[in-house]
Amino acid sequence: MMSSFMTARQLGYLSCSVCHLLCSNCPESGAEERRRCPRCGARLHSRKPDSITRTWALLLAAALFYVPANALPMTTVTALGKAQSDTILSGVIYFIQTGSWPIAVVIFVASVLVPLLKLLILACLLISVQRRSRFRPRDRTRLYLLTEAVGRWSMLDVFVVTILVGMVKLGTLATIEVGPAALFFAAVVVLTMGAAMSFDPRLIWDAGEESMTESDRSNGGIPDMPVAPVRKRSFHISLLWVVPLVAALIGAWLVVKGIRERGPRITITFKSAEGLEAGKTKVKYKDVDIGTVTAVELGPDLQHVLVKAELVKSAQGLISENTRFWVARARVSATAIYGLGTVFSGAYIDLDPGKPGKPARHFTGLEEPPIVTTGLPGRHFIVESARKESLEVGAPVYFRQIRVGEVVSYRLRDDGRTIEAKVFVHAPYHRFVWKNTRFWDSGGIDLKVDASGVHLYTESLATVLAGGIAFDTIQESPEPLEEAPEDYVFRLFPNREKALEKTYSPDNYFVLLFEGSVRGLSVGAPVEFRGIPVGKVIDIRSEFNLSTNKVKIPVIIATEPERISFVGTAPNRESGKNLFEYLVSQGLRAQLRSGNVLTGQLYVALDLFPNAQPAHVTHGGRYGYAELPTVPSPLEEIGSKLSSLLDKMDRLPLEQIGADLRDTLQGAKRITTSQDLLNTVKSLEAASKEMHLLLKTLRTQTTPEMDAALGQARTSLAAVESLLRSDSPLHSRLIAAAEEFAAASRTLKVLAEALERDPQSVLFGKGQEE
Amino acid sequence: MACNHCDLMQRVPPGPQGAVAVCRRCGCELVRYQSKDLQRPLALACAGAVLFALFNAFPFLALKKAGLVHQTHLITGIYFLSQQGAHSLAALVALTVLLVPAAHLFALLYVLIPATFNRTLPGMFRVFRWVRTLQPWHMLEIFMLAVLVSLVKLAKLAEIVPGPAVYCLAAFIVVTAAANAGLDPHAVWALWKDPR
Repeated sequence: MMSSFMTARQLGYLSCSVCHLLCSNCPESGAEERRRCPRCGARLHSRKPDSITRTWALLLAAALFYVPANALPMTTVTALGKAQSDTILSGVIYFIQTGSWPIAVVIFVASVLVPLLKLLILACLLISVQRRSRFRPRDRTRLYLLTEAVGRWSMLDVFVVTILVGMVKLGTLATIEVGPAALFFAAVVVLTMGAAMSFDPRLIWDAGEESMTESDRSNGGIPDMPVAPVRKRSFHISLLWVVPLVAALIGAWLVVKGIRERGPRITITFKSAEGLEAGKTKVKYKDVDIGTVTAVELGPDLQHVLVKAELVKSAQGLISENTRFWVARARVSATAIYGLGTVFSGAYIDLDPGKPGKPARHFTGLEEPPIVTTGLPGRHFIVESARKESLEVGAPVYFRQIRVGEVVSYRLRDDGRTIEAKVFVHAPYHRFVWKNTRFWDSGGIDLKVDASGVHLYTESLATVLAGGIAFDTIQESPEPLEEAPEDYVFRLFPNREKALEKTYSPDNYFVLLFEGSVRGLSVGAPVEFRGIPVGKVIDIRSEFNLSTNKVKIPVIIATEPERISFVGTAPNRESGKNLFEYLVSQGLRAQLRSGNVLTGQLYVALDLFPNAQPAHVTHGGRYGYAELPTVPSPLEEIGSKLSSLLDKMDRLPLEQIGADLRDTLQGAKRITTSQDLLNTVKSLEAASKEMHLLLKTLRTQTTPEMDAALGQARTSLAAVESLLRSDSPLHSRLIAAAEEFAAASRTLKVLAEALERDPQSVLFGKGQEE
Repeated sequence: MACNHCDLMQRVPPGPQGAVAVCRRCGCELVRYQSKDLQRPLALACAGAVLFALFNAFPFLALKKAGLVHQTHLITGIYFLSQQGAHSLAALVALTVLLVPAAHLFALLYVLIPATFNRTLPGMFRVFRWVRTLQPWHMLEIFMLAVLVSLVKLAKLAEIVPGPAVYCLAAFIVVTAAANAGLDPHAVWALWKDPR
């Protein structure tokens, strides 16, 4: 069997190693070393000259170089003045540490393993050839082919270094310099390649052929030459496919790694992309990078900017529909300077995760950073005001001149009537916001000059510039102190004084129905309870009842019952509205009173009229407010009494009295002119004559007795006289009485004159005194 | 025909396309039966020539970091290497990445163009020998792998923007590989007429 295997050399041929041309090895054609292939010009030799020696030489040189190639630094990275040297192995370790294990494997195999294996394999082959081993020549040939093909791939690291050196040239920031190992390494690669080329695999086979050379040569010509078997190319894989394979491997690994590490991709809409740069601007949360802006595009409406960002995977749980984004830039306000760091580092996108919610991918960015971010302890309240006052976003909130919060946002309500501002009060101060706390505008300076001097009031210097609001609580309130819940609505008072003055809750609005004129009553007129202001007039209207033809004037008042302290408990423990009912049942009435004689201003007085007719509070009366019963004013009362007096006078029967008087006089005249009277006179004369006689007798008989009686009378008269003397007390009293009477009559005269001059003073009091 | 690896003389029978004749003794590939058509390798080699020009002309990779953009060409690395004093290394890289591929390509064209028309040019077979012997020193595919490795290495450091040259290089490697694989050297050698 072996005899049929003839080598070219045995048959006296030279085979061109390049073009496979067989040339006869005739000794006459010259020395073997000079023979060239007639076709391609390659040197022809039946075996590579000095193959073993050359291979050994190259191999040993490569082995020598292999040591420094691995021991010395391959590259030196200089970044920001700091130099760091990397050997091949430390590069591999770096890749393993950063998790790029496929790259680490590739580099390790190409740069460490392959050269080493090549050295070992070639050495083994050389030794086996030198020892004329017959051990598995076929496998040894394959091994050789493998070393030859794979050797070039060791150049990988040299190329990597070349690319890195070319790429990383960022001015003075970072440079990569090639280390001495690179040259050694390249030498190793070239030398091992040379060694592999100079090795002649035919030597492997020569060992088994030596013996049969001569006998076969004698046969002459070409005996039965074996026919090479033809195989389908089933197994043969070109080593070139390693490239796409490795590339695909790296690519797939990168993709897998990318998908595994990919976080949410989000789109944020901003009004402007100022300072935002795709690929550079970071998304940060608590100053930690959690993503990068990947694209900045103009939105479809050409009004907004769509900023696309890719976040890290760990940010997944952070992003929800409540998340707010804004661009962090340097900002300067009257109270603070924010984001100074962004001046140097450039703007970045900041975020506030907000409350957990549904996942979302599209967000609308805030133009201004929010004052209050989630997780900040404290509480939000709503302050409403008719005017903006100093409700600037970011304006401070003070409590007893301590800065405790900020105005978060403000907006005009949809009805356009009030401004609604959101205020955040930090913990622990939010506990001092009660339901009856008053907020007021503390911006600017409150300057007041009065009898006690000049008062200057301001919360802090910052509020003078930036404005601000303050709050405090009236502790004297009878209401139990109750903490205000989140988003509780407060009214904003224009200043501290007004805030601490009074407030009206809609529960304490009442409507009063007056029948008389309310001339002199104006909106804002006080409501007083025995001189203590407890409220004010909110509105005055008028109504005409078509069915009764009566005019009624509803006056709406707001009261503040807290101003009145109640001592003890009502019989049935009533409070609030019921308290008013109880008071009304006890005679509480509203009355219009003249507050100022000069101006005729009226005010509403609430007072107790125990004699008033029983009445009660009409709930849900006109205009939706409870109706308090009213009593007429004092002047109204006088007027009505006067008119009833005149009515009574009107009803006196004066004419009949006159007629009766006339009848009486006529009767008297008739009596004086009648005969009866004459007769009477005559009989009277006779009677006088008889009297005369009677007197005569009296003088003579009764005079002495009379004298005595007269003496007695004189004494008693003297006593009377002493009683009636001018210096007697009775006399002086009488004179005083007479004088008082005279004075009274004078006063009456003056009143009569005044009434004559100004009759309406009966109703409205005296006018100005000229 | 003698096996290149074990020197065994054997006959090579005609075989179907795509099959391989292997050495009886050592099992190494003797002849690859391929299409004798030389037009396809020629077309691919032409494409390769165009791509070779492209990837040398266009920017290769761009490095972006903190607003700085550093653009490189294929030769930038070699240039910096020689600047840093590693002249021999630079020469080696230039040789394996630029000169050998270029020489290889143009040699191939020099052979293939006349060969397609069944003509011979002076020194054509000598040139073709160079084509065959230069093959192992043509290391652009390794360079491509090195590009991938450095991409990963630098990705942590800065943003890398692959330029058009990278794609041209990838295409060039595929095209030259296809040209070499599709080329039957025997079709060229067969053109040789023994002058004797």
